[in-house]
Amino acid sequence: MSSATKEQKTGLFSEWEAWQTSFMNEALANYQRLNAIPQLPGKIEKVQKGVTPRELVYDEDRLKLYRYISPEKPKFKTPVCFVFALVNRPYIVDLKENRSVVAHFVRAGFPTYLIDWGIPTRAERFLSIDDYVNGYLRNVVEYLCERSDVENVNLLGYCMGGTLATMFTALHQEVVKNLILLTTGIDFGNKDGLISLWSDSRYFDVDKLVDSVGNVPAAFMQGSFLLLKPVQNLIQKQLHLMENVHNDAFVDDFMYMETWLNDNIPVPGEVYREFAKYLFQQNLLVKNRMRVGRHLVDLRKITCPLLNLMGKNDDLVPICQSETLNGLVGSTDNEKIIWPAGHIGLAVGGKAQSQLWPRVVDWLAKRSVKAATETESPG
Amino acid sequence: MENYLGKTLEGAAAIQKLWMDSASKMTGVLTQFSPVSPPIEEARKLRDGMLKMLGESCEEFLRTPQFMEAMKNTLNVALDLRNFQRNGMDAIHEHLQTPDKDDIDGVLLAIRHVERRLLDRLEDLDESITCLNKRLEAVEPAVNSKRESPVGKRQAVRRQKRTTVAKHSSKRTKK
Repeated sequence: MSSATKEQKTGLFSEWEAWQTSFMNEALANYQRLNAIPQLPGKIEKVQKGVTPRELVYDEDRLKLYRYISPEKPKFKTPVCFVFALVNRPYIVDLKENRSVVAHFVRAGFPTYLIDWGIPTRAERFLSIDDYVNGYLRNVVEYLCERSDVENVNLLGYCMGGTLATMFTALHQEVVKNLILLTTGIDFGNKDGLISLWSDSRYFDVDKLVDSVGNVPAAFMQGSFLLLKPVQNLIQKQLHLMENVHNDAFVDDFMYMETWLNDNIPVPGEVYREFAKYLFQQNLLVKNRMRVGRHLVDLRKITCPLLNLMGKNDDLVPICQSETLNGLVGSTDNEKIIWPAGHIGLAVGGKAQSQLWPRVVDWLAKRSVKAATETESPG
Repeated sequence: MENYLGKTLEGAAAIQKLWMDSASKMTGVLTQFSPVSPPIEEARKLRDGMLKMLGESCEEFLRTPQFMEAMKNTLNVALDLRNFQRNGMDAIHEHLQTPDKDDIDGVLLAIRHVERRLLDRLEDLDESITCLNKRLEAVEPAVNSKRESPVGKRQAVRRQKRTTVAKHSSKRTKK
């Protein structure tokens, strides 16, 4: 037998062996998958909504303000307040062990607070941005200043909450020490994002929608978010779950994420109208012509240190909608970080948790007032 | 009518072209099949490639004016239907003299209006107080320095004496 034929036979044999191993492995994996499927409902039930211990310290109408409890004394005097969006529940910032943004701040010694806007009912249908910014948010900040005996607080706004926090800072700069924004839409002039494109006044009659439905239903919001990436959200995601259903860590992460993603809440009608009309359609915020109640929002009035965090792969709030802000504010100390993650990955992604958030905490620590230690305090 | 039909056909043709392109791209992925690698991994690669192509086509489609026009029409029809239902229900409510959505919204709006007026007024008062405080703060150093001057001190003593005498006299009267 010639050496060439021998080599050919060995090659064929190794290929055949690889095929066989591949089939065997897949058969074994399928067996494990089938065994894991009945355990899924139990895993769904175990999903918690927030993991860091917290207590309710303030409430007003539907709003609830929580303080995260730390076993140690706070190292900083200035509190951090998380301002979340009105479209989802805020526990994404404290999703689970090792995926909690809140935990980074608590561990670093910041008195950490979170605003839960609550689920609006028909009674909240006429609440406007003014009520949220100059009403609730202002009351919360005043309460925090009084409670912590400080003149200003640190605000961390996420998504739509970031837009609210930005407007608040522009109107009440004196009570904001540092502003951190996470995937916050400010400049809606660019139609790169699908949501901006769909909000075009030629195709979307926001008045008709709000007048007909009142509070914009959670299902409408959920549908719009799913439609942003239909193939990924409706096909690929389910395939990945089925392929990894026997992988406990994967299923655990998946269940926590899905629970949050499907936990949408309705948006107060007037707030939705103002956001869609004045921001998405008329882009008034960047023109410094956005009116909140009787006040005009002038972004140049933001003079505190600003840290703007954006996701490179964010399909909900593209970078172009967010990074403009750094050039519009009056702050000399303003920084931006573009992180290779999506809209949610920026908060709970593994790499963001291990590298980005410690960096953000450091940024804030450098700009915050330290709490007086016992030896320093008088008496 | 003809114009509408033409538009619809145009839209349908554009969508058809988009999906045909997408289908051809997806079939293009199939040519990447390599029999040398284990079939399960290859199948997975092909599937992911095809879904990626499908995802790209979908995104492209979601950006087309045809899709947005369709979205607008669907939303309008859904809202019209909802409003039609509501109008029917309103007629029933009116007949039974029970409050309907508009009545409740009207009450809510009235409350909001009163609340807004009150809040605006409070805000005005708050601004006035802040302004007055500022003016007081500005005046305070001058008043303090006047008090500390010898003339000021004498005046203060005299004022105090007068108040003490007045208090005593009032007590006497009460007795």
